[in-house]
Amino acid sequence: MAAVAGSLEVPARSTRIGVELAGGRASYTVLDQGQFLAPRPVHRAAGRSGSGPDPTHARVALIGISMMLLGGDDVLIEVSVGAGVTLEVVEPAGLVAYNAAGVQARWRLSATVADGGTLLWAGAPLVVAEGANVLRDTRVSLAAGARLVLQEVLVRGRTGETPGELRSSVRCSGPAGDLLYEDLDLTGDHRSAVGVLGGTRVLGAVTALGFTPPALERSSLTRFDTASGGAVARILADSAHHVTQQVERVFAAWR
Amino acid sequence: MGASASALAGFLLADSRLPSGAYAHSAGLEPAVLGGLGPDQVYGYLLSRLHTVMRVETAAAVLAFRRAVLAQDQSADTVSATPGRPAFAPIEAALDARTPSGAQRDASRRLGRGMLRLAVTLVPGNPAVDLLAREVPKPTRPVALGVLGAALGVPELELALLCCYDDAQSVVAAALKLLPIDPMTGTRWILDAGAAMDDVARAALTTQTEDDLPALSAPWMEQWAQEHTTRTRRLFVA
Repeated sequence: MAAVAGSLEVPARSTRIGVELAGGRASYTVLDQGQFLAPRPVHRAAGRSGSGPDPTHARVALIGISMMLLGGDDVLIEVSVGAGVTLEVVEPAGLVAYNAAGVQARWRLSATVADGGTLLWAGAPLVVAEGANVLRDTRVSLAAGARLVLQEVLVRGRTGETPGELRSSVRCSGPAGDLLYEDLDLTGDHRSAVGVLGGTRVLGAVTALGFTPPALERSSLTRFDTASGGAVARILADSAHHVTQQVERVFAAWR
Repeated sequence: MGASASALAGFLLADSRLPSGAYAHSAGLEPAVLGGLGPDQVYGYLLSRLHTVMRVETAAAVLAFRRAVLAQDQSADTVSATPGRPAFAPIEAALDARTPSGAQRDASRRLGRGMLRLAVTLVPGNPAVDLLAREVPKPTRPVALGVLGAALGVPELELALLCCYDDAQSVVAAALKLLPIDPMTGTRWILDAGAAMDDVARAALTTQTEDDLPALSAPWMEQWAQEHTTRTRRLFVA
């Protein structure tokens, strides 16, 4: 990662969110607006029991504050979830990586979750338009007893468009090493590789680590139980709308 | 070990008549064909395997090979022998983290177990084989292949190429049983994929630790593999 950052002329200002448990409540230790995204705390609706909002649960919306994703952009989000708190991050709008004549744009998420903490990442679709070149890197470090539920929708090209290039990796580790490491290479000759995504336009996934999520019910997603006791639910299809809807249902059931 | 002996070992491991149970595996091709893959996509599939699953497995095979060589050397020189540090289990754990599909993890372990059984019989008392059998009784294919290759004296680059070649041949052999493909054409594909195999093998040699293992994923292959486990009418296990 250092090598990636080092190749930039001017390092982009990152968006930072830190939450910790203080006096029985989730409280923000850091809430920094980055060059591209501003974290806005959102009021929580009543908790599951109906007894009012859970005070240990913080919810943040990531609001775009400048034009993105263009060639050369470097979006970096740094998240720290303290022990015993839940942080829910919502991307209210999808992200389009525009035609940049192949110039790379980066989107990176780096998160740590402490013991008994939970990170719920409700990602919106990333659309890689024709001529775009995106490097997406999601890294989550989970302490013992920490949980992650991550929602992702990757869309290759807008309707009827030749997809751009995408390299997307998700690497989640626990105290003893990697829990899940996936690296999707849809660049150059591999863009439509047979058995990778082939001609499929949309990949939707929900990843749950640090616990075993409940069985999928009437879902068009396929469940993969990871060796570490977590699970990935995935759908490969051509309609971004359908995929997003299906993925959101699983995210809601697993969170 | 003499040059002839290590060459012979290489031929042996590359031979489909090797009694390791590999004949029951199609390197994911049968699940792919049942998922809609046609004859004109087989060569593309073979190349995709090399760039994804094989990049991961070959790097793991090379790591296991080196740990096995180390275990053999340490056993020969009892003074410098380091006690009890796990050699192969961390490679297995790293592979598991890079293989979300349980069906693919199971298929790899079926192949690995067959290869370990063969190793225990062919090179009894080999310290690396013994260590693997103790530490990981059900190893994955690349780890078992790496250890057996080291025990038989196959050189490192050849071992890495062998890992790729064996997978590509599994694809072609299965394709001839499942699809209307001329055997000559299938054989041509193996030679045509030579540069890709060389690329994967050489990249694998740069791997230093489990942390460096690549994780290139193939979502459709994973999907097909998972769907295959519930089928009753099939020629191949995986």
